[in-house]
Amino acid sequence: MRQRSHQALNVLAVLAIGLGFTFAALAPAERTQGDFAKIMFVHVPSAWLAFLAFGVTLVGGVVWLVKKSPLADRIAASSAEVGVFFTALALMTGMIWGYPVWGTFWDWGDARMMSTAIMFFVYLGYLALRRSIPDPETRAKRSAVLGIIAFVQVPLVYFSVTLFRTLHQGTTVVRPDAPIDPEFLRALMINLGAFTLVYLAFTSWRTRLARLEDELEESEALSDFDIAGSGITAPQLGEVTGDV
Amino acid sequence: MSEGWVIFGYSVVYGFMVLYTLYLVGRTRRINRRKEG
Amino acid sequence: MSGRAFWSQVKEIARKDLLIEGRAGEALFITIPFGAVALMLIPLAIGTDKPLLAQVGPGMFLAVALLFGMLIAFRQTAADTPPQKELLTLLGTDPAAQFVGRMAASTLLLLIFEAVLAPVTVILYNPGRIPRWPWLLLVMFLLALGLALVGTLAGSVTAGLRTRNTLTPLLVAPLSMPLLLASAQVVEALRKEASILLWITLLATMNLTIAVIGVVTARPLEESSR
Repeated sequence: MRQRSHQALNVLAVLAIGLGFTFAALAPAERTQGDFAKIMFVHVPSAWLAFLAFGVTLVGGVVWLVKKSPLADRIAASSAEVGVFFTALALMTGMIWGYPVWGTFWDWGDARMMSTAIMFFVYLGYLALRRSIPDPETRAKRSAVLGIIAFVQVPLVYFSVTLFRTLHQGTTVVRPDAPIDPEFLRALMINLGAFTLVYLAFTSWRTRLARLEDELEESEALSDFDIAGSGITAPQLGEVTGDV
Repeated sequence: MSEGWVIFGYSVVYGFMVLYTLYLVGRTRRINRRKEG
Repeated sequence: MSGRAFWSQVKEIARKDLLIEGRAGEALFITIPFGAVALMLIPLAIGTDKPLLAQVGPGMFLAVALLFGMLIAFRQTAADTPPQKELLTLLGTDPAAQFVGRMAASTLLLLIFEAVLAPVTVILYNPGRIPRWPWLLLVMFLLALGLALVGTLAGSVTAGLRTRNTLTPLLVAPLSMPLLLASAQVVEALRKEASILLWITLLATMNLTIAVIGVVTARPLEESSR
């Protein structure tokens, strides 16, 4: 992606966020929770984008394993970093939303929060793994494998906690899964679109950054070493006479 | 009370988006400087 | 590679790992006492009230089995040095067989680990009789298997890295969470005289999933470890 399109995407993302905020503010207060439920407009998109981001990491890793494309690996890694960002947002907003309702910041029977928290640590581990491997190919390979394991675990985690909650009759799910009010839905959709643009903007920026850093590292590594045999030059014909 | 919470929640979200942007800006600048120098 | 050749390789590799552990390995000698000490420290932290301990006893056993047992799953002697890797490659060993063999050896070691710590837990926490308790043996097996699977896979992914000792637990712990949850829920279901089928199925499913991933990614991973 060229510089201009990056900047355009960034501007678009900012505008979309502004739009999303406007619609969120203007949406009518929800029936049972009042204005309070409006946290949903930032919580749900954050969680969604986290999942999307880690899905991209999975795909990027698999593409790398098949095609060995460095771009695929960079996208996978960048998406993971942005995914951790959105996961943190989802966790924070989830706790902010939950506190007045549950009385605590954490509800142990909430399958979604549990899955999100586990995802957070798993992908934090993914980033830590990448940081520990200097060789690009090894790093890409092992990250790809971890990316596969990590993504497969998430539904397992979700299912196990859902099962746990069902059997324990945990606290009632206060958050409406599907808001009935069409204006509410509209505000949610607009914010979802806005957050998606933010994800795209961040990930493409981060991918470009990764490419720049890889290029820099390569050139620096090369300049450290004298190429073998550089002390010998080929005979230059014509120099002896002084002719150019 | 609930309005304060909502504002807090939104501030956290937008605040972190700004912070992450600054992080990307900072890192990009550092790379560009190293590439020139 | 023929089925029989594969499994004979698995056996050889498992035997090799167990031999190493038996001769010079310290995984069991260090981790078992470590686990026992942990079980002793916990009541000092949460309270020595007998009913409390009886209640949390089995859960503490599972938590310690997971958190400390994982150290066995990615013990240093379970990681091949570059010369060892080259030797295995030259001998034409199937990477998938290496994974399965290593994992099998770790499962056995973990079973020993659990078998020693279980009576320690009973002594220290006095949980009382659990109805249909023989099912706990199945749980212990599935937990050991699952931890061995995740630990071996995580160990391959972190092989040769400087930060291996701190990074691998960070990777294994969250990924093992369903194992822990399911195992603990079996205990609770047994206590309440409820059905354990769903949880056993969850344990088996997770183990199968990780096993498949481990086998499929064994060759790609092998080629990278340099």
